[in-house]
Amino acid sequence: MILINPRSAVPPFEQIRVQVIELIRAGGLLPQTRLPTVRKLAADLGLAPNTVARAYRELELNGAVETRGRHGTFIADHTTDRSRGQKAAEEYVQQIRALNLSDIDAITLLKTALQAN
Amino acid sequence: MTLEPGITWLILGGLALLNVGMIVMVQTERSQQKQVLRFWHHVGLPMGSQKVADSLRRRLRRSAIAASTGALAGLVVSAGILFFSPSSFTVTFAWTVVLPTVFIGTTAFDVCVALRDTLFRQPPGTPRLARAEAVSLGDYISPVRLWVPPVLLLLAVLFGALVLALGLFGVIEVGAFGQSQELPILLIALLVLCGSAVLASRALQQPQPVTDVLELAWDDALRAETLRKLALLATLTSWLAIAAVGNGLINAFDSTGSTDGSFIAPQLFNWGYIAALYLFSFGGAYSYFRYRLWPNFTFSTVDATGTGSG
Repeated sequence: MILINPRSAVPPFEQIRVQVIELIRAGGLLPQTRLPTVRKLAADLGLAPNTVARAYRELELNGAVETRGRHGTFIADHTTDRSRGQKAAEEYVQQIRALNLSDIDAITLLKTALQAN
Repeated sequence: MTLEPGITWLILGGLALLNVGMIVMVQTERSQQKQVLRFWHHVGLPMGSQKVADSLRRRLRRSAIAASTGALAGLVVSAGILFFSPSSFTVTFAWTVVLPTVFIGTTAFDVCVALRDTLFRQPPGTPRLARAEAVSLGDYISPVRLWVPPVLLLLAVLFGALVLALGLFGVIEVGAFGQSQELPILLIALLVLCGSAVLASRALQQPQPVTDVLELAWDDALRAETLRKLALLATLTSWLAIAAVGNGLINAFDSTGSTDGSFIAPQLFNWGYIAALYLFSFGGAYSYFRYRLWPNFTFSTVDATGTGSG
């Protein structure tokens, strides 16, 4: 269940995002579970569709859910920390390729970033 | 006026009076309480609060009025056909025209109310609750009840094709088959099945504005009831199509002089009608959604949002 408190200081999209993540962690939403459509959830919660769309977008960026076009939005298969790290690494590689940097450069940059943090 | 149309007019008048009586009766407090108790008993959810009981009573009253008004509309259509086209009258008029128009009118009006109304409202500033996962038809209707209408209609089509094939081989007289009312009924059954699917999809997309899990569970109960009625209508019209094709076949054999049966098809329909009503009234027909969506339903007024499934 998703509960929205309109009197909370936390914006509604953030309330949705946090609760979906929490439900995934608690096993309440299993991988491949289809989420309600943006319009349906917005109507149920009395929110603007854009608010729910933003929550879904952020969840997708986190790797928690995946959108499959007309089929809807689904809980992603692997939403563990390791798989999210894997996804971030893949995105990093894509950016390195787009910048025409070599693999050695990519590893050096990564090592530098790891040491700096 | 011959005897048979006269009896049909009497049936139409009697049914109209019955439905007017239903509309009047449902206005009484006692009748409304009975409706709520009956539905509560069927569904098996806790009532929880007076707010739920009041919302349910209002909704069931509106639903009953809509159903009776729909039945009246169906009767008016039947009366119109009988009045303006007396030549269309056959001995099977009551079950090939009156019954489908009444069924369609009853369900269509009732479903329109369900699609227009919401059981509860969310007062401004109160917490709002929604299910985190999408639901489907299979969460509200059992697989058997879901598949019965299309399978019956498919059988009716196959049966019709078989009759035409028999006609092509000269076993029966196709002309007599074509003169019967089975083709329009088959077409109506197809339209009802498609219309039911569209309306069911719309019912699933209807907002459920609720503030706690009990309200959501009751909203699910009424949604399941709407979908059950749609499936029942599709089943009855599909079965009617089978009976009508059977009637056409009997007529075709009649023209060859091998049988004498204008009573078999209505009897066939009546038994199927009883079986369909039984299927959609018993065996968890009203409470299937509870096993799917609320398997461990518990409700306390203290923690109204943290229980149940979904």
